Amino acid sequence: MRRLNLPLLVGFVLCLGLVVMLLLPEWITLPDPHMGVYIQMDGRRLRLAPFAPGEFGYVLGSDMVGRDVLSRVIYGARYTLGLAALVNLLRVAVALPAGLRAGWAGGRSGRLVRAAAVGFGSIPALAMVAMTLGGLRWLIPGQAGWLAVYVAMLVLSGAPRMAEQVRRRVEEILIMPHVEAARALGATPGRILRRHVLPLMRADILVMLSSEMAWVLLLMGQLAVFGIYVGGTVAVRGEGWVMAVEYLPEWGQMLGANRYNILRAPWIAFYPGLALGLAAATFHLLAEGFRLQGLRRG
Amino acid sequence: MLRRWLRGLGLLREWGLRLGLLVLSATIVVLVAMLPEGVVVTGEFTVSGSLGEVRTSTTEKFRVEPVDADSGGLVYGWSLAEYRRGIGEYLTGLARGTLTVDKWYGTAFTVLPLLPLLKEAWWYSFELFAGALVVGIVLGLLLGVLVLGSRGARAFGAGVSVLGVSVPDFLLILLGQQLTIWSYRNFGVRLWSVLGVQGGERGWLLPLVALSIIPMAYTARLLSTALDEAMREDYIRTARAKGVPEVWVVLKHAMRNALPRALNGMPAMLNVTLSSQLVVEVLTNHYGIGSGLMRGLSYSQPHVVASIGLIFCLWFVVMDGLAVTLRALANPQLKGGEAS
Repeated sequence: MRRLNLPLLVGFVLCLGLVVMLLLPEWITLPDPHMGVYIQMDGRRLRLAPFAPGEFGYVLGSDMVGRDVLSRVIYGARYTLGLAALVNLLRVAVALPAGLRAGWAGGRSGRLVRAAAVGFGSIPALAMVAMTLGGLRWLIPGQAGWLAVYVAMLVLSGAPRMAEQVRRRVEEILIMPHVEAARALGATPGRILRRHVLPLMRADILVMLSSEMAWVLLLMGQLAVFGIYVGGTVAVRGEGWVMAVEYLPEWGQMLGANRYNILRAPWIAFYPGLALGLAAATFHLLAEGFRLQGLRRG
Repeated sequence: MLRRWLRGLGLLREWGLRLGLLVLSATIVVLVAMLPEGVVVTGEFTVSGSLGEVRTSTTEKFRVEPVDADSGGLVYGWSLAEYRRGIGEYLTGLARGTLTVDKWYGTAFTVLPLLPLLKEAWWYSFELFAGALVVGIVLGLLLGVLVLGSRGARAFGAGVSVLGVSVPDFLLILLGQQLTIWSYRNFGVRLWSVLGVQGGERGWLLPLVALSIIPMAYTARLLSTALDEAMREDYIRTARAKGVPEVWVVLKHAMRNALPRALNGMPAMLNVTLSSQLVVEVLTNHYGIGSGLMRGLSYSQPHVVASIGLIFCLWFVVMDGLAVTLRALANPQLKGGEAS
């Protein structure tokens, strides 16, 4: 009897949930994620935002200026998952060629990749990225520049470790008999890597992509807790008050910008945090499932 | 005797490597953390860090939209001379022990010596870290051993460890906060203190539970994999054939070979746990060095950030070195292979 690969199954189900979330705004009409209302009439009483889940038709409640949390969380999937996928792709684009080169050539490039992986691994990634972005915060003009630096730091924090994993795997494959045979037949390095090394790394790359996606989402959530996120703030001004609120419905930003409201209105930070955490767990489970599948296939 | 010498030399080499790594990471930390020292204000605009503003005062709906024309703030530049001066001042202050901080928990605007405060905060963090590590590793060992039990027990152990690695720390804390609020509202039972970011009550249980999940899951995974492999070895079959009781087979033969292998994964576990500690402290109102780092970043205090970064580097290298030492001491092959 074939054994059930539970992590893969659960991962796929959760992944399906994320896909539905991405497509939901195309299927149904959701409240505008940027539309807010600060004061609402509850019978003869005036009520100020934030509104709790279930009140005034807000399924998951509203944020500090009355924007719908459910709608923002659903729209946020596009920004957050898109951003994480971009970081992941850039990490692969940097790490795969570097790891292949280091694994093939060894020597100085091998040592460089190993040293970078060890160097970046000796400081918790969160501390390193938070310190750098915290230090650079004032020097970066505009939201686009901040987004570029944020993405660059997320790429840098994981690429060396990824390149080292690729290098190790390439070294393992290069001593296999079929590679030796290809070498003896006079195949060029490019052909050997393309035809004899990369096909054997397909499963590893699949595991790596899922696992890295989970780590990127986790790091984005952790950075948000530290108040480091992308999206910008907008000042909302009323009679005698002003409030800086997050603009983009990005999960990290919604969690980070509302972390001080956890005791007053816990739902504002909780649901984006839940979405971010579940997305990270989804990709962790997928990675675990792919790893298990690879082991069973031998 | 020779083996003992070789083992000692190997250990010295490992510690030497870690010392080099410490110097490298400490240099990176100081260079990165002192970046704000080189920042100088060169001009002035309107509200800082804002995309624009929206006005509301009625019950009418409004759309929050950025207004580019209103964006701006102070204009900053970079000065290498200021940066160098900042690094010099920091290193001198660190060497003489004269670093100060002007905003600390509950002591706003009073200049206080930084190092004693950090020592206190570090100890506070270390208590949490050590507690979580002990709880996590003990539970992880128990879960890992389940791999030797029935199919259901194996599945339970594997499931808990996979979930423990997968579910992020911040989600665990947010769930914990929601859970205690829900249980109090519905049943009048407070599971633990209600903790917020720099607010609410002070409590140990939630941070301890949240932080011990990662060591637990990692230990369980590492041990179960190593035990699974060890139990298939020939010496286990031989021991069983000789009639050695199963408990003794596991403790004397399988465990002694599985533990050093499991210790290989310790540095990665410590790195992830230390990362997690920062988040757990910030989210649970725990005034250790993790919260200190966030305050340092929020209030632009490069001295605090750099010092805490250095503490983290030192902490990680010491823990990593201890893991390597433990692995070397527990490796039966270096003791003459009597265990196998």
